[in-house]
Amino acid sequence: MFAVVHLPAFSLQAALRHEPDLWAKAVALVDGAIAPPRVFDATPSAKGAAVHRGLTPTQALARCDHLIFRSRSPSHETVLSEMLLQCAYSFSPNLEMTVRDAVTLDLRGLATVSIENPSSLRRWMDSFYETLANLNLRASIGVASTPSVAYLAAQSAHGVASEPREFIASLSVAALQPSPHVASILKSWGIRTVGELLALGQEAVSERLGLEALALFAAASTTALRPLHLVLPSEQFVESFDFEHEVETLQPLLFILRRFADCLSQRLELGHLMAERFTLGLRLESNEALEHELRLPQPACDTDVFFRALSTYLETVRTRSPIKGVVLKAHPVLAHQKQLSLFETVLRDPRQFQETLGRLSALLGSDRVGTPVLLDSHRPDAFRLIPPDFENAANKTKPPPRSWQPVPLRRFRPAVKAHVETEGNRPASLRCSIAQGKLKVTVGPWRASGNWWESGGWHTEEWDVETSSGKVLRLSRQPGGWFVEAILD
Amino acid sequence: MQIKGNIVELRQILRAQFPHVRQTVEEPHAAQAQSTGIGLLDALSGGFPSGGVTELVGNGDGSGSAQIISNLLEQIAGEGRFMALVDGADSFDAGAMGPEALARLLWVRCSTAVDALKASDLLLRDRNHSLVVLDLKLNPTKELRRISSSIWFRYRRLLEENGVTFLVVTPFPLVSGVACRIELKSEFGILAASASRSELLSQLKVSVTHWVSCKRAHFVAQTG
Repeated sequence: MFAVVHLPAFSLQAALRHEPDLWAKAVALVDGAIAPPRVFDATPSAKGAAVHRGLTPTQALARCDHLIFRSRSPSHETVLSEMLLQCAYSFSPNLEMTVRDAVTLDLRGLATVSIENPSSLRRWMDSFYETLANLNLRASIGVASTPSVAYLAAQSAHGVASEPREFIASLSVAALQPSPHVASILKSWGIRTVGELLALGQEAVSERLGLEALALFAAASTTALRPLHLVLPSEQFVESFDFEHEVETLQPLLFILRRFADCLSQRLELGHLMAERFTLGLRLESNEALEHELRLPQPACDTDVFFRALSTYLETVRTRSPIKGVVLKAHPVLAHQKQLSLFETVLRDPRQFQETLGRLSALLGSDRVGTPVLLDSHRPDAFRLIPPDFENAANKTKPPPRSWQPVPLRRFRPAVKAHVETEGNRPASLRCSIAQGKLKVTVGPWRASGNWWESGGWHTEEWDVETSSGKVLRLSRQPGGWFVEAILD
Repeated sequence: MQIKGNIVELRQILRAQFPHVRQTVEEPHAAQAQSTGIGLLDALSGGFPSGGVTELVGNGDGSGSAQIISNLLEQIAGEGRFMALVDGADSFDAGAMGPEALARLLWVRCSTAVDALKASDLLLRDRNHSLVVLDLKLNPTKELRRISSSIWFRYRRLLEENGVTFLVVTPFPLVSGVACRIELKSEFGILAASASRSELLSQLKVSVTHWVSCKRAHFVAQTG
C-alpha cells in the first residue's frame, strides 16, 4: 500500500506560506524569470475575476483592480519541497520524491495503517492533514495499492482508492498527462476516460501511438509495482522572506520572525531534533547583508525560546538602511539527556540566563559582559572575556593549584597618567588625580616585557609605593611615562 | 471611620479591616545565609543573608573589600556555584584569581553607577546566580549620592521573592533598608601588597554595625 501527498498550487503555496491571510484575497503569482513576466498562478478569488496563467501583470490588473502580486521564488519552492519531505519522514521511513510537489510513502509494514481497516487509514490521513495544516500547507492525499494509482488518487483528490479498477476507469485521460499530440489523437478517436483507453487494448494502441502508449498503460496499471527511488530529507532548516516594502521598525520583522520560529520548531519536532543555534541574516536596501549567529543556552525546540532569543538580539541591532529580506537558519542537533552528579549544580534557568546576557550586552556592550580568561602572557592585567559556559564549568579539567596567589588589587582601566619625580631612579613623589605628595615607601622595580619581536611589543617597570596619606598604589613606568595601574584595597 | 493620628493605631485599624493583606515585611530566606569563607566575618555576621541586601562598607583605602570579594568568589566556586560581579568602576583584578574561580564568574564591567544599578536589576530578576555582588567602591561620591533610596527598596522586594544573596560594596554607608551592614576598618599598608591572602584576611578589622534578623533583633559586633 502506498500513499502520495500532493501539494496543489505548489508555487503559490510556497509564496504565501508566511502570509496565509492572502488566500482569501485576489493574489496573482508572477513568474519574473521569463520576459515579459507572466502570471503563473492565482488564488481562487483572483481566478474568479478571470485572472489566469499566462496574462501579463497589466492584463491581470485590468481584470481585477485590487489584485495583489507576489513573485515566484525558486528558493521558497525548494524549502517547501524539503518541508514536505521532512513532514512525510515522520510518517514513513520509505519515501520517494520524483516531483517537487508530491511525495510517495510506502505504507507497507506500518502496523497502525491497513487498507482493510478504513478507519485506521482515515485517522492516519487526518493526522497527516493536521500536521500539514499546522505548517500552513494544503494537501491532497491519495492511498492505493500501487504508487502510480496513489499518485492519480492524490491529484484527483479522491482519497483512498479501495477499488482501483473502477477508480482508474472513471478518470479523465488528461490525468495520465499525455503529450498534446497524443491527447489530440485520443480526442479525435472520442476517447475521454482512462477506462475507454484501456478497453482498446495495450497492443492495438501501442501499434498506432508508439512508445508513449506503453507509458500511458503503465501509468494506468492497477497491479504493476515498481521499486521506489528512496530519499532521505536533508537536515536543512531555513526560512526566508522578502518584504514587499522595506521595513524600518522592529515590529514587522518580529512578526515574520515569530512565524519563522513557529515553523522551524514544528519542523524540528517532526524530525525529533532540536536547535542549538541560529544564523540570522538581514538583507538591507543598500544590498549589504548582515549575519549574526545566536547560540541557545541549551538545545531547544520551543517557539517561545527561539523568539525570545531573536527579539532580545534584535533590540540591540541598528542597521544603516531599511531591511528588505530576512533569512533564519536553525542548526539542528539530536536531543540529549544529561545526568548530573549528586553535588553538581547548574543554572536554574539557562534560557533566562541567555536572555539576561543579551540584555546586559545591549546595555553595556558585548565586550563588557562575560567570564574572564587569563591570557598566556606576563603582561599585567592581560585577560579577555568569553561568553559564560556555566553548563560545562564543572566538566572542565581543573589546573593544578598555584603555589602563590597575588593579593587582589583594584585596577584602574585605563591606567591613570601620573607625574612622578624620581631620586636615584626610584620614584620619590607623585602627582595625579588619585594621590599626590611624597612617597613614604617604594618597593620595586619589577620589570617585564613581551612581544618585542613583533609590532605589539611592550615593556613595563612596576613599583609598589605608599603615599604619605597611606594609599598603596602600583605604579608602572612605560615608554609613554608613568601610570597608576592599581590601588590596594 | 475615624482616622487616628498615630501610625500604630492606623496600622491596627488596617489590620482589622483587611486581615488578608500583608502588613509586615516577611523575610522568608533570612534563615539561610551565604558563608563568606572568612571565619571571623562568619562568626560575627552569620554570613551574608539570602533574600536581603548586605552592605559592605570599605572605609578608606586599604580596607580589604577587594580581598573579601575575591575570597567570596573562591568560596562560591569551591561550592560549585556561580557568582555575578557587577563592577561599578571596572576595577576587578582578574589576574589575581585562579582559572577555576574565574570560570564560575559572570563579570559585568560598568563605567558608571547608573549602569551598574541597571545591570544589578537585570541579574537579580534572572535568579540564576546565588550571589550577586555590586561593587561601587571606586565610583565617584557624586554619582553615589544621586542614587535614590527607592532603588534599594525595589531590590529588597526582588530579593524577598527570589532568595538571592546580594552584596553591595560601598565607600560609605549608602544603602537603605539593609539586612546587614558590615564596616571594614582595616588600613592595609605597603607590607600587605607582598603578604599572603590568608594573612591579609586574618588581619581584617570588621564591625557589624547593623543586623536585622527575622526576629527583628539588633546588635553590634566589632573586632580589632
